[in-house]
Amino acid sequence: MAVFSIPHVRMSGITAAVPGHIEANNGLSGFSPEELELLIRTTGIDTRRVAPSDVCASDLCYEAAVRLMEGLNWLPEEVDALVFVTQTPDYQLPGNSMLLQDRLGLSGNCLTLDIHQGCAGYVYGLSALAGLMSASGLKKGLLLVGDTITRLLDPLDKGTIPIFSDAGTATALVFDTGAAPLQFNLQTNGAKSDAIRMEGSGSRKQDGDAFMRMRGHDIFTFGLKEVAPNIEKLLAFSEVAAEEIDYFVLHQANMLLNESIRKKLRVPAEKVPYTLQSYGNTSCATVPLTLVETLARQEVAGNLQWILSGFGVGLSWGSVYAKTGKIWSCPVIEVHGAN
Amino acid sequence: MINLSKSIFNRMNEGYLQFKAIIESALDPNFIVDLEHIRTWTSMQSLIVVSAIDEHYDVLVSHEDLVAVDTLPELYGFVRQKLS
Repeated sequence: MAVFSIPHVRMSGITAAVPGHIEANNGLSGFSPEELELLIRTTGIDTRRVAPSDVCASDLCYEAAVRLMEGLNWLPEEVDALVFVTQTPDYQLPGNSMLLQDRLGLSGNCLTLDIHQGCAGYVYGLSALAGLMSASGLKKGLLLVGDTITRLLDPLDKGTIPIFSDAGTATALVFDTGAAPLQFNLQTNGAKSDAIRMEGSGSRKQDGDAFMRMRGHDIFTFGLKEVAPNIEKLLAFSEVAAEEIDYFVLHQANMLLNESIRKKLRVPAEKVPYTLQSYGNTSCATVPLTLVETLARQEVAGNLQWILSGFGVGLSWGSVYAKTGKIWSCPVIEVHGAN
Repeated sequence: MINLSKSIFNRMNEGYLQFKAIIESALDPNFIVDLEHIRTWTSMQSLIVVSAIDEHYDVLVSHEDLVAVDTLPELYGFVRQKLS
């Protein structure tokens, strides 16, 4: 059972970058005005960020990482480990973590690791990097999480185009024996892996469908069934009451699903922040992007208790309970391509 | 015997009317084409209904469950069956 605790690692900073190009859902073609009104109301998504063809997830994460390292006064040679979570790497091989080790000027002694994960990717990536650092004593680590998921969409697919958006994020972790432990509850159901799939994306079916397909109803009922119990179990394991949590940062799937989860958890609306309206569903980047926006709205930067929860492709879902001190952040960065 | 049947019918009818009111309210009358006929619902409306049924009855309606019924009374029958 993947319910566990990782000591001696804390989050010290977090940043996010999005493409400058904005697409509005009220301008989508192929929908009647009534359909659009219902779609925007139900998904909660007004606008999305779409990366131009010359901007990849690695570029968005790079910009976020540069700003983060500047803000924290980290020297590149001080970074001991870099984990990159994405489903839209620059290349099939090598992985983005190695590309970013070079691009960020990190030392040759830096450990790099790529994780192929979607909407639960931030929580999974955090567990992997924090676990490595906790076990090894590595001092500073970077977790880069981002996707240009809009590249994988069928432009005629009315089920995915209005939802998905692009973003990249960077999170700084430091080894600290005084840090409160990070508590995780991670779960998987590979039997339902065809609920979100891109058939022609790998070596199994090379002539398969080249677009990401999502069975919306199946994903919706999966979210309704699994997310709240996962969080409740984590709260019980962490011996913390829901009332003590300052923010429940959920993967930004869609407003209807997220509000249903919030009601199941009996959590007041002000404790569940949203970035859906402006940024849509940015795949693995939604949780850290929403963290950045939430920190920006915090009037007092101090100790906070968080539940961060991701759920989606895999099917895969997981949550982390984090008790944080001061986290350095800055407003969301906009990245403009040459095209 | 007749009175007992009538009482059961009334209770069922009351339950159905309550169910119908919940679905109608969740779907928003402005967007309803034909509430009683599930095939007229868009996929978005289907999810709204699934969410409302989960919230009010704690019953999860899968895609397969939904395509197996054609009308709102049939959907109510499915929910009742799950609850019994």
